[in-house]
Amino acid sequence: MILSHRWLGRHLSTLPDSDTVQRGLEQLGIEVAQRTLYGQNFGMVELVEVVSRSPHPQSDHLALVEVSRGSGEITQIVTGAANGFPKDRLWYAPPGTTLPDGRTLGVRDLRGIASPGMLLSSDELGYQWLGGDLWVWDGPEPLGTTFLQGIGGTDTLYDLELTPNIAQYLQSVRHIAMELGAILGIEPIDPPSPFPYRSDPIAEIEDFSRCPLYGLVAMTLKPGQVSPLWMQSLLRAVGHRIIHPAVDVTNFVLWDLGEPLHAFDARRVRGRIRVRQAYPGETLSLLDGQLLTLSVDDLVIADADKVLALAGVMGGVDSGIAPDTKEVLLECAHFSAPGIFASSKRHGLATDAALHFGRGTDPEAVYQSPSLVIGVLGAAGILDKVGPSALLGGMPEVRRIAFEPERIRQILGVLWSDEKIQDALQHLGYVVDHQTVRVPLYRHDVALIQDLAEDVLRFYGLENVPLTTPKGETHLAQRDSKMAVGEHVRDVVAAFGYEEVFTSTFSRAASQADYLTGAQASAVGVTNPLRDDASSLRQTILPSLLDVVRYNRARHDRPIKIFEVGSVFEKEGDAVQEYRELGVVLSLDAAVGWPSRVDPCIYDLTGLVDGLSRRLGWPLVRSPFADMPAFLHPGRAQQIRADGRSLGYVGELRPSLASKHRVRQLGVLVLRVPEVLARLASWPGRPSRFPEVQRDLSLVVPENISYAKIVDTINQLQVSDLQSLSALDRFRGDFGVSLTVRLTFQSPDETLKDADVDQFISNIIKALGAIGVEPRQ
Amino acid sequence: MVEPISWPDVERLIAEASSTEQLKQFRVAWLGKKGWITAQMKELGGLSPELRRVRGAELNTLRNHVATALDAKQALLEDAAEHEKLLRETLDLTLPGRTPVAGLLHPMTRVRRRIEDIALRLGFSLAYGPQVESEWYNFEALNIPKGHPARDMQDTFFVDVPGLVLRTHTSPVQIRSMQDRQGALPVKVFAPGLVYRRDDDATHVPMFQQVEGLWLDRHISLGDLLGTLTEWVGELIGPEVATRFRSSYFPFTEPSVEMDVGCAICRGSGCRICKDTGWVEILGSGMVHPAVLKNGGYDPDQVSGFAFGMGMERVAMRLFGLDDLRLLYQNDLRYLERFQSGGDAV
Repeated sequence: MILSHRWLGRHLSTLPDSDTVQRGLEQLGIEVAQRTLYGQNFGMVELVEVVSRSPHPQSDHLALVEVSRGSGEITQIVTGAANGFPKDRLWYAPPGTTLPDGRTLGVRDLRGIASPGMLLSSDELGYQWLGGDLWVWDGPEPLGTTFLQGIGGTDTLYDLELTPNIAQYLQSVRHIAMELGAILGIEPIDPPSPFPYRSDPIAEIEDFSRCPLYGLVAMTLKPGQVSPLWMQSLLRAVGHRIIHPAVDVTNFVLWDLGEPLHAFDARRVRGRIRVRQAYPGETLSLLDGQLLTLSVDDLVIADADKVLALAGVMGGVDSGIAPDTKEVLLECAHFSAPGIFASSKRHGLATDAALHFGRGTDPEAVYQSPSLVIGVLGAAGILDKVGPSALLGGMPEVRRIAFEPERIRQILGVLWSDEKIQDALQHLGYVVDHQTVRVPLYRHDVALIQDLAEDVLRFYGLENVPLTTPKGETHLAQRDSKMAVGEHVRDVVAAFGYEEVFTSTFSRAASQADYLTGAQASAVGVTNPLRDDASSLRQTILPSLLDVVRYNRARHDRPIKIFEVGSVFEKEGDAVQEYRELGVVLSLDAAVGWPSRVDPCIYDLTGLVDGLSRRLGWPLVRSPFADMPAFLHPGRAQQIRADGRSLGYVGELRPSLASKHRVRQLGVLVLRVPEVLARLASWPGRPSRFPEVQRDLSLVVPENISYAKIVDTINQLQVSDLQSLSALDRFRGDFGVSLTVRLTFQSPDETLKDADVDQFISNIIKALGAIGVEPRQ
Repeated sequence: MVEPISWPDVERLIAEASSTEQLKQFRVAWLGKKGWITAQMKELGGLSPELRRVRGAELNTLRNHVATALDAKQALLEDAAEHEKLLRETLDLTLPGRTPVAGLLHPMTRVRRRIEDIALRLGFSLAYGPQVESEWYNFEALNIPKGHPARDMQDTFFVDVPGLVLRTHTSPVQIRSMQDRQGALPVKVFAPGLVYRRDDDATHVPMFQQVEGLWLDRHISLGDLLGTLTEWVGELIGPEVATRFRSSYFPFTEPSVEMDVGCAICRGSGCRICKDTGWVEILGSGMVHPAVLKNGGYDPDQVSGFAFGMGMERVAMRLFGLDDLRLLYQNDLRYLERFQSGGDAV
């Protein structure tokens, strides 16, 4: 909402400066997003008097007008206007002036004659005035007076951000002024007196629950009039166009009292006005040209044969005010807010009227508005006479809340006296009598003692509440152990040299399907996605990480070594399950740079699985896939299992897929972070004090024998003094695959003798021989 | 030929020696089996006992001095030779070092952990809830019934399971935590997590991280909220930061309060970031609404408390001096690698 500083002055006996107003608004919980000035561009537009007018030598429809300016200077301007004769006083915009439509004027050449700036019509200034093309000013101001002075100077505008609670009553200059007056100690000016409605048979209500109070007043306006200048400048300042006095005055009341009025052209209304539910399928052509099909949930204003308006939202084009309208039916209603809110939502019509009625209006305004309209139009000589009127329904019941100052003190944590609390409430329009508080009818946001506490707080300001901390028992705080696992995973993987990324949970369902393994649950769809590629929640984390690879490789040629622990989602019946996955991606590019480093390879990732398993105490096992997923390299991938369940995989992405992400070879690892897996603690024991013996064995290994098979075979011998077994070297020669392993022996009880170790080695060679592995000669 | 020697001669000859070879020759000539001192020792037998004792002591002293001087010179020459050799092995240490390959946690993880650490220190336990949440927990339980204008404040993502939405805030965890405590007091939790809103522009991303604090007990007041927040923000951003409170509105709190901190960019003089106000909003808060207490299973006549929530990205922007939060989620590795150190913060 745009609030005009000058407009506030209509309701306050003295008008504070704009800084004071802004501070007051902020104390009241009204955020001022911006403060601007209206009218600055009118500071150059000056009042001039025509000295002479002569035809343009080169044109039939242009004239040369000489004007006398405040400085005494005579300026010649070319104009196409039909009026503007000697002695006429006009508004002149010299070069450099910016008009409301955004044009900045210069010196123009019009058929060979230079014309500096422009003589203005009221329309060009954004206003309406009577008379011909150019605005002939009939005020007494001296020449050189600026248009800005003519409209009373600049006006400060506050761009207010109203939260939904205060929007329920504060979309009204009067209500804002009253609250400001209360906290700043300024007396408000009396509101318009209630209009004495008659009981003429001009309207009827069929649904009082939707429309508890309805006033209608017939008026006759004098033809060919425009709204008074003071009102035009207030409306222009807050962004309204000037249309017709009957429309302008309703816009004025909309913001002044927060009451949306509607003016019908009485010529278009047949019989009585009826406030009723719409019939199924009934239609209405709106003022903005759209055709609306109504439902029985819509409340409408109708006459004997047709719908005239969607109640509280927008009027129909047929009964709208036309330039020649003289007979007006003015509607002053109080609708029930939820119904209007629902209609406005249903039809997507967020009009100013709907934004007021849909949140709640002040029923008092039904009485005050006609008086205000009559006052404004009457003073401006626009109103001819007031005709029949009617008021149907009644005022809503006053709500009461028990007055419990002690509760208010407890809620706020203050020691303010009962009187001080009562004083705040009364200043804000509440009536405190005996033990109850009567809530003003316009305060739709107030129902509880907490609401009263909030108003007392707004009245005195948050800075007057002493800062304290709660007193009471203290308890030790805890981390959630399930979530802590994810944190450990992050720490370990980062320590292992991977960079963490943070990708979106959204994904395209189709792109996910290619990267799923095992039995497949269905994806959770997003029914209102922002984009097509965000139409479902991801089921696996890998595609998000592949996007990161492509994004980075498209921009710079660099190795990728990243991970993420993030949520994935699956639909299980009517429920959605959320799991956490660890995803790791490593580009297997040759290492470049100085000093040299080892080239990354898939063993970095299989080793990462083993390292994670050890560091986190998880019994993770790598094993062959029974059913290799198509997105993985069929010869370079393994499943990761624990406790007999599959938890993920490690391997190389199929190269054809990797190349789509601008990488030749890409290692990937995905592991569902288990929540229930028992974590084993290391149990290190005491190191032996006897020397260890190392023996290296070079073996020739047949193609079909894996390293795991060799380890298994040796382990089956159960050599208790064999401390460790590691691979030292592996290469392929004419003779097949050569593997060198290092065996380390150590006894906890004695120094091993060569003969013992020789015996172990010969047993090992014998066992390996049985599976076709021979020592290399 | 063996020359007779005297100590001054020995000192001079050793000092003049320039190679270990020369020293070796001196050692043979003076101390060797046929060396002069050895020869003199052999001749002692022919002297009178009186003379032999005196001469023997002289020769011993001379032999020890000569041996020590030769050893010392030997060590000096070897050291110089090694130094010479090492100088030929000089490396250009201005070349880049091999930096240890350590990973880096995402700045948002580090910021979240800092927030969590402070919460734990202040006695708030960490609590979590599902990201796909029921409409009841996300709205109704928080006093946002269907048709309430506040539902428009948070544009919601819906999923294809009826009754479920992507949570628009971490506030549902308030209700879940109250239910978990089953009426016990105090309820004192901190709930970090991802939330979703259907917004995507310069200042909004559809997925972001919030953190929610909740403290329920008997007789907790708004003053307690203001005091606790002042302490909390001081811990988070620094005790010297200027703070202020403003009245605000949230459906699930009453009264509601927003907290601002002094703008870090302009230090209060007004700039684009703070829209010329000198202040930047840091969090929203308030006294838990009675309807919310009831939905969590607590009696609003007996129990009161406060809740507060904030966007973690705002904290990250503050701690790292960022002006565009979208970059945090673009996953440009060159950008992420710039977050090496967050100073004392993270």
